[in-house]
Amino acid sequence: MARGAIRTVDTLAAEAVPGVVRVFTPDTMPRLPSVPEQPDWDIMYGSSFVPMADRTIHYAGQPIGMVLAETLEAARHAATLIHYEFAAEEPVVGLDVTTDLAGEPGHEPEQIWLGFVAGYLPGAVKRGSGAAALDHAAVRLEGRWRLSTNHHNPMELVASTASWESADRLTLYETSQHVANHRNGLAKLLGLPRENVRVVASYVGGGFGCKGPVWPHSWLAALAAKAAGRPVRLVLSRAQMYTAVGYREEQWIDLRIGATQEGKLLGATVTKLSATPAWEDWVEPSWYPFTFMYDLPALETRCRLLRANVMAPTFMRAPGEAPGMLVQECAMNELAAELGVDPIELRLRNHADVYPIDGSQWSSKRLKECYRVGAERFGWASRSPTPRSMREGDLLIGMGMASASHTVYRQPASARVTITTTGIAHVAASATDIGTGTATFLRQITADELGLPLDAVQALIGDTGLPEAPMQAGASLTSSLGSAALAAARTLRGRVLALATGTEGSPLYGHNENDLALDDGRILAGGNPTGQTVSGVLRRAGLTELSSDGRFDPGGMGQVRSGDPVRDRREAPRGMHSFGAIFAEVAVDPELGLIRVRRLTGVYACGRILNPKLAESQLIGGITWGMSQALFEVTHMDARFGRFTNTNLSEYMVPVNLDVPVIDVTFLDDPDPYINPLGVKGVGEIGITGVAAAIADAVWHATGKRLRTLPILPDALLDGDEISSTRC
Amino acid sequence: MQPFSYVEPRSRAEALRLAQAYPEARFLAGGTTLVDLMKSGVVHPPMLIDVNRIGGLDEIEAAEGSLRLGALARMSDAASHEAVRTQAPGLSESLLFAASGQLRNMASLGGNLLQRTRCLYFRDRHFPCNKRAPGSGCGAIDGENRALAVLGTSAACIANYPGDFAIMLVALDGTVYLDGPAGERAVPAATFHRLPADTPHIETVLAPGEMITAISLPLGALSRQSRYLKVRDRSSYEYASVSVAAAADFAPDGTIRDARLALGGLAAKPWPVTEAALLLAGRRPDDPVAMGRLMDAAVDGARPRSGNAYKVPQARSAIRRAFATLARRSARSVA
Ligand SMILES: Cc1cc2nc3c(=O)[nH]c(=O)nc-3n(C[C@H](O)[C@H](O)[C@H](O)COP(=O)(O)OP(=O)(O)OC[C@H]3O[C@@H](n4cnc5c(N)ncnc54)[C@H](O)[C@@H]3O)c2cc1C
Ligand code: SF4
Repeated sequence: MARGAIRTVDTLAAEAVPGVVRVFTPDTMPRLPSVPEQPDWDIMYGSSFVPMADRTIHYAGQPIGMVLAETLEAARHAATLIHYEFAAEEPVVGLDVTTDLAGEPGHEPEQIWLGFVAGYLPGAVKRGSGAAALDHAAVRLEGRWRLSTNHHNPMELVASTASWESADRLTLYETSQHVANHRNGLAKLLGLPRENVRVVASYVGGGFGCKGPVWPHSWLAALAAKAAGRPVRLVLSRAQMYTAVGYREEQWIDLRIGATQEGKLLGATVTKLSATPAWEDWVEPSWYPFTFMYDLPALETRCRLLRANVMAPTFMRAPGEAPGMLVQECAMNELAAELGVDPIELRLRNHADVYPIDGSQWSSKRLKECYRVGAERFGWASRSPTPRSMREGDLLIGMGMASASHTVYRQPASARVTITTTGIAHVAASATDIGTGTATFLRQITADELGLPLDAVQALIGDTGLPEAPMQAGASLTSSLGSAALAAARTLRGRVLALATGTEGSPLYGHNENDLALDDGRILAGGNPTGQTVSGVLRRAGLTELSSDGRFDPGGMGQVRSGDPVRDRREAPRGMHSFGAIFAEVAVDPELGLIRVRRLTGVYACGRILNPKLAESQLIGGITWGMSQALFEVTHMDARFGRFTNTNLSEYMVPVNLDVPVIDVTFLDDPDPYINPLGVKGVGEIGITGVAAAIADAVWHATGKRLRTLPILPDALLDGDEISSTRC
Repeated sequence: MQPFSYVEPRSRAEALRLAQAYPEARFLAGGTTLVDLMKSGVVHPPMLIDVNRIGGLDEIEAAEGSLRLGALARMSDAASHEAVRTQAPGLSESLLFAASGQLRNMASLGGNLLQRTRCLYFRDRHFPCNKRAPGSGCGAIDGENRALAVLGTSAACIANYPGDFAIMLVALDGTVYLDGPAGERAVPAATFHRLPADTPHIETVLAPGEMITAISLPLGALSRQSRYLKVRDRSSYEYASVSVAAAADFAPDGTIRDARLALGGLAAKPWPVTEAALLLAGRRPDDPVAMGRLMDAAVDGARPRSGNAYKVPQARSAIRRAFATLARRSARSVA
């Protein structure tokens, strides 16, 4: 049932199951004191939809009942015994409908709200006249790229444990990428002061975007716990994860792009079609890469949204860039083939020397070197340009490449560093660790600044009781929080030295602070031991510990205009992006239609790399996902039922170990003096970008087939369902 | 999952007695199919009869030109057994290419034969499915059917049989041994599974209360030169879109004396291509006419649906590939 209403509910059988404590339905579920409202500059909601509030059904998978029981088994069993009668209506889903749920052919939003990390983006971009520029183009390319629905599928399921410490004090243990966001959201919705809500999430088993926003399960758990008078744990099943915490929406992207005979881009039009729920506009800004990636003088983008019986999509790794770079980079490769120009050469001819959005300088950009180093490491020169020209036995070999890029987002952050007379330091911030190494980088930065061995620094993370850190999202945590930790540690160091040199009677009294250094808890002067220790300085001052707070305030979001006048006024005029180049080699078995990726080489300039191991892992994970986007991932929607059909990890394909080749990742040294005091741009998101385009191009190079529907499956190679490059 | 009772008989007789007394009960072997389906609400037996404590059902013996595998032998044990690896390498491959290491350690051979289709509509009880809920309709026939069958289907059901081991078993003329209320009997592997017709919920000839006790197959020139080619989107841990169980006995001049072929992944049940022996006898695998005829015969009557037409060309190529590989292996072992 994806559309209609509940006519009757009968909970008797469910309530009779041994162990069942409470059964809630839309009729009996306690109401939220206040409902989510978008936009909210402090709270990122997954959706403004409030389930269990009335009997209307908007999408398949919508929560319509909740059972509390002593065991998970009893709860699950009882849930199947709640008897509903429905008045069902024909659902509206899919992108090939003529009229949407509102009875219209779709609508074009003026602006789109992307939560407080990115703020507002315009619904349409117009730079020059993209359409008119195409008239003068010597070479034109036109096509529709069809991208499948994708789901985050972190290994760890989404879960909330709500415990009311008193009538108005809540502790929520949440699988959260941002505890402060969950605290702010829950406090607002439940009508509590923020300080009465504590949210805890130290380590999270993967998020990829789905655990950032506040979704209904959290407040449902809190409401249920309050009603039941005892703590409640709500764990979503894998199948429920497909409709409860967002997804990357299916999208069709129509592109027209034109260039001169020399390969200089003249203009492009980009139109994206996707579906959104009845009650809000969500659209991933997939056209966004066209605005910054190349020197593209004329551009017109539009997005058309269809209202449908779906829950809201949400952020997924590299939102905007992951699909947008796919189309952009596929188009560059197709143009290169049309013009008979090497794909790297075409990119060099269109390199954006300045930030195309406003003509300002880049904060730093080493994209050309990424191409050069990547081509060398990969052996790009060995590629013969003609498709189907490289073979090995039964196999066709193909090579492809693409650019990679991701926006640098920056968020306000704070951290506290404390040093104690035991010689141990603590660094504290509310940030969670979703496998990104939050605790590790905080300890590293603190240890470096305080001259301590890593073992002497402990991290306290994942609790709203700690100094507020930003969302673990947008590849921005290390750069933003790391800068705050650096500031805190630097201040603390200064205060220790000030105590040492400024306290009468101290052996270092009157020394110049600039001559002093900290080394493993000792204080050096001019590089020589002074016999003084940090602990000694603290003790002499009668202290057992000393703390400093540090803050990073970027004064803007990165170069994305947030739409918030206060934030944007403070924005420094620089283009801020990480860049890279990705190269892929595939082997195609043309008789069986099988595609196997044999090599992937990526070279990246992402600012300063704090921890090479963590950074490489982030890239390997991102690149693997890009490969998965190209060849495996699709959530099928059966339009007749308005329901996803493969909501489990057996039927939702991701690559297995054997599919993933050795991935060669190189970072170029890319110091960036503008971005933040650390010079860190972030590595969490760029990995996925460009990969699918490189693989699609390698498949074309191997087989001569341009395939624009993702994932690329054997069917496409066996059915003759190909699109030859259209010249118009 | 619905509540159920659990019994652990120590003898085969006791297990069969329980099964007869509680016709809705199910035998529990490795549980990798059954428990999964119970959790998804697809099946809800009121009682599980755990047969793992019954002695003597997991033995593997090779003697007098025949291999006998106990129904409770684990997939990994059978795959790595010396006699299986050397005298029926295709059978070993069919087990090794299935599922994952963890699953193969748990899963039994009897349970393997009885695994159910991966049809998405069968596994999600929110959809109609004649196999799960007879008479409710077939969700897949006009829906998402990329993985499903093109051979042996009916208007009621187009599900494919997903397993690997049974395909090789059928190719190599295996036998399934049963014991039940009517006593012991032996059924050719090729007739163990049934076509869906208008009763897709009845998948095998197993009678109520009947148990699989063992599986056997002849060992000889054919089994020694057998190969299982499994074609799938990803490299491992996936069901076959198409699979080919092939065996060929080659004369010294490279011509085929005798051959067997069965297909998996694309048919409603393990799909023997009985013409293989006749069409290939006296021919070489690279004989395009003979191979063309065999490929035609193999997919004769194929009825592709909206999403699975690719399986037909894929199967044709896979057949040729499998016999070509067998010929290469044979030439190598002669040389
Ligand atoms: C993720 C996943 C991937 C898989 N991939 C593959 C694959 O690629 N290829 C493949 O071939 N298989 C695959 N399988 C299926 C797997 O091989 C089967 O689940 C397994 O072989 C079943 O054996 P079992 O002992 O666990 O059976 P159980 O789950 O215990 O039983 C299955 C059925 O058989 C009945 N049964 C069991 N033993 C007997 C007996 N002796 N007599 C009568 N009835 C009996 C049970 O009552 C039940 O109905 C996969 C399974 C999973 C979960
Ligand atoms: S194909 Fe068979 S198993 Fe699948 S939905 Fe139809 S009846 Fe059910």
